[in-house]
Amino acid sequence: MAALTDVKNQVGNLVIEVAEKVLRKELSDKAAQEQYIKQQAESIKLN
Amino acid sequence: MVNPRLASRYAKSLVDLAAEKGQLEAVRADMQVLQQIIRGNRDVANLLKSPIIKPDKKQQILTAIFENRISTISNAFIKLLVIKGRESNLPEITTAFEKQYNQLKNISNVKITTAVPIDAAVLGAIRQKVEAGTDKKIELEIAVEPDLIGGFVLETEDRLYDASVLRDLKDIKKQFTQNIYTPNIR
Repeated sequence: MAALTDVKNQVGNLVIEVAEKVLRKELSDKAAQEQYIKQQAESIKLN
Repeated sequence: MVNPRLASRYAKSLVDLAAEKGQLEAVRADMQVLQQIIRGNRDVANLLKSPIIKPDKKQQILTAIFENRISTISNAFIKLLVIKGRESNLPEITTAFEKQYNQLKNISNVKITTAVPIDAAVLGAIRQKVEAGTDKKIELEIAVEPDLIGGFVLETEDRLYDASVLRDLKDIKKQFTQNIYTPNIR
């Protein structure tokens, strides 16, 4: 069980590392970045 | 020594006095000037804190620096601080003043942090959203933090709204590191 958990955690870390790299690449474009910000701003809720 | 209660008391007296004399705006500008000078110049900050320099000497130096830049009220206020031996608290007092001024004028400071610098149009959209949520006037402060990867972070006075990619990634990471099937206590 411990080994299995270890594998799970390692896979999780790898996935996140990859995801971060992909996202960085995706959002390195200024237009995409602003698009994303706009989209987030739409869903904003301050209370 | 940082003493927030003291700072807010002195600031309140200054706000009240300035409002009474109808010079709130002028004094506020003075406080901003003071803050800038203190932050921008280490020597001035050290002078204020120094226990070795005699009060009358301090007074002379401070007058020489500030006399022509700030109004009579602010000058008198600094003199008062030196007399009371509280000049070392001046930086906090300026901050507290700003805070109380904002409260009085119903202004709320919002700091927005993004991964890359953004256009005024996008900024305007966010501003509208924030303004819709409160009945206060909004003063935007902009910062750039590439580590966010994408999205933005909003900081109002006592609230933080995190819509950044970094935050999402962190949340996911947390879910992965939480091992629900292994006991935490052995």
